[in-house]
Amino acid sequence: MPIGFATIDWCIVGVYVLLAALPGFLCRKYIRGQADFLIAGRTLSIFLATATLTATEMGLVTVMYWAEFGYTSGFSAMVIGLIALSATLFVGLSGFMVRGLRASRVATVAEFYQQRYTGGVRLLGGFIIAAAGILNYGVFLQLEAKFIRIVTDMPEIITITTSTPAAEAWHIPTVNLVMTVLLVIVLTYTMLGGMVSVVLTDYIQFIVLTLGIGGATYWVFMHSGIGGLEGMVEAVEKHRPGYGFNPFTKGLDDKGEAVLGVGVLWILWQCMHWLGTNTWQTQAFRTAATDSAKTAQRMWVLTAFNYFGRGVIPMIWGIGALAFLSQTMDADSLAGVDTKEAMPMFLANLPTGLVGFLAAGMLAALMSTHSSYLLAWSGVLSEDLTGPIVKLLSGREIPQGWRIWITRLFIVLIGVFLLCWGLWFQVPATVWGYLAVTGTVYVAGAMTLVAFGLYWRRANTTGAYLGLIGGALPGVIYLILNIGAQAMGLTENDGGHVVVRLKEVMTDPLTGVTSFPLAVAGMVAGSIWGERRRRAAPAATGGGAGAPGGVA
Amino acid sequence: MSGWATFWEWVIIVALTTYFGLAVVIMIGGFFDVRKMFRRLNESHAQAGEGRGPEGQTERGRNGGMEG
Repeated sequence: MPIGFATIDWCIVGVYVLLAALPGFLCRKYIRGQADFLIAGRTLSIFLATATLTATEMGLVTVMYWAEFGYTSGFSAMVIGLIALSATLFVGLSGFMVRGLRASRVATVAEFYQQRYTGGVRLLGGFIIAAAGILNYGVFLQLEAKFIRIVTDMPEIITITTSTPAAEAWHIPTVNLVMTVLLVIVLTYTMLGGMVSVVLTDYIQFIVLTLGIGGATYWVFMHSGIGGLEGMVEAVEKHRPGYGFNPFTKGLDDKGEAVLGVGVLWILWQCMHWLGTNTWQTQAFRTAATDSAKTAQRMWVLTAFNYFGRGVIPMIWGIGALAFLSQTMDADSLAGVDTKEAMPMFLANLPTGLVGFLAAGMLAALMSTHSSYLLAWSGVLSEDLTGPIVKLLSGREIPQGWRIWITRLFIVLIGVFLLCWGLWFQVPATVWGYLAVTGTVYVAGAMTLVAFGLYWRRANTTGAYLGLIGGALPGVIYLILNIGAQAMGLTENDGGHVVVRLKEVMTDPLTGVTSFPLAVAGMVAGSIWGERRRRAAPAATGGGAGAPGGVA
Repeated sequence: MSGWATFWEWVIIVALTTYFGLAVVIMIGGFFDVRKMFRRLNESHAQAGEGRGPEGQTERGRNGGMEG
């Protein structure tokens, strides 16, 4: 049974939240313009840049979905860590895309679209980036709440009764309240100090989360109920036979219902995905915020190893949870465990004090990710959509001071959306599947436009439009099917319904693996077609290869 | 199965060693980088105030501050 979250643990968490958030409130004086607000005036050196990138991408939600993946797929899940290491190391050593992006001096990826293609491409690209990014971000709170509720053993509802007998008692959902308070803290310091606050708090949070995950990982290996690495191997052999070790195969779960494992399609998809994730706006901001292209490249080399650990460590916790729960539960109960809750159920058994450090570490992960995501998507909404649209309609640039306030307004609006969407939307399939699909909607097109824009002289506007559409199409179909099925109240039992049948065809890996080739095919075919049209009627087409755009 | 198990054991060892080893380096180096970031921001603002910006400052004015 869990030992419970003691007063000392709450004290550790409270002190941490104060220490980590306070410096963020003091950075407002360093903000003089949008460049300071969004990319800290391009002042980041290698270690700070790596710390902020790692803290941003190592969120509590990351820990949750990769622990779930380790729980369901065993050691095979770690192949994602190897893919992340290889792809990111390649990016860092070769400078693939990141060197060109940094040298182009853009802040957002969509800004590069305008520099290389046209303002119209920036608008469409900015829309896809913002929509996919915010949908991806939308489920974070829901998962994080699960972790906090289970690890802290917080009551789900607090009932407040009033002295008047006739008045109804107030029932407050505790975790939602705590998550809202945390979000408001993050939102406030991000609004005030922008990237400078985010970087400073990320550095503190990197230290705390490293200590937290270090302590928890040590405990997982030393736990007598698991038996170290050997115990984990035994548990995977028993409950995830074959596919728990060999990532190229798949198999059925304990109940014989769900198909688990990684599989070849998944691996192919992830190889493409990880090569392009540096175009994800939270990561592209770090590339842009470094003090030179060389620093950007070095940051990516170091980050490769952090991404490796970022994948493998939560998966160790997930496999540890499988080993622990399989020894403490009967077969029926084990088969009924919510895979998303397995890891927090296991870590709730950490001893007093250590569980406080873990919770502080995970809150650090949560806060650093939220601050960066809030800044990234609000930056895209203000710089790549609002600015160009206002320029298009009025012919004027938005004044400098207003741009920061518009970004701040979007930070608040995204925070509100996060609370609403997080409460309503139920994640389809595995969390990582949903996040990777929404990410692919963006990354497939972005990677194609940036890579071809940098390395293929013939890439042009027509190709860019078709590349964006091709990259987003499979993911959009996937999302429409899943959201539509939820809105219509359809379940897997309604197998005769056309939406359910299509959903079964349009799986996560199929969606992902088709997105990248479609984006590339769109870019190549569109560029060739666009060039032919331009040659036939030079005045009829806008923005050939290398044409500078001009909305903003 | 033992071949795969041994392989994953090595993956875990390498991942933990590199992640936590690098974390120590980043924590120490990051401390000095934080100070450098604030110093650079102050210098940049001071130079902007004097009207002779550092590298990129001209573009910064021209493009509304995004090129800093």
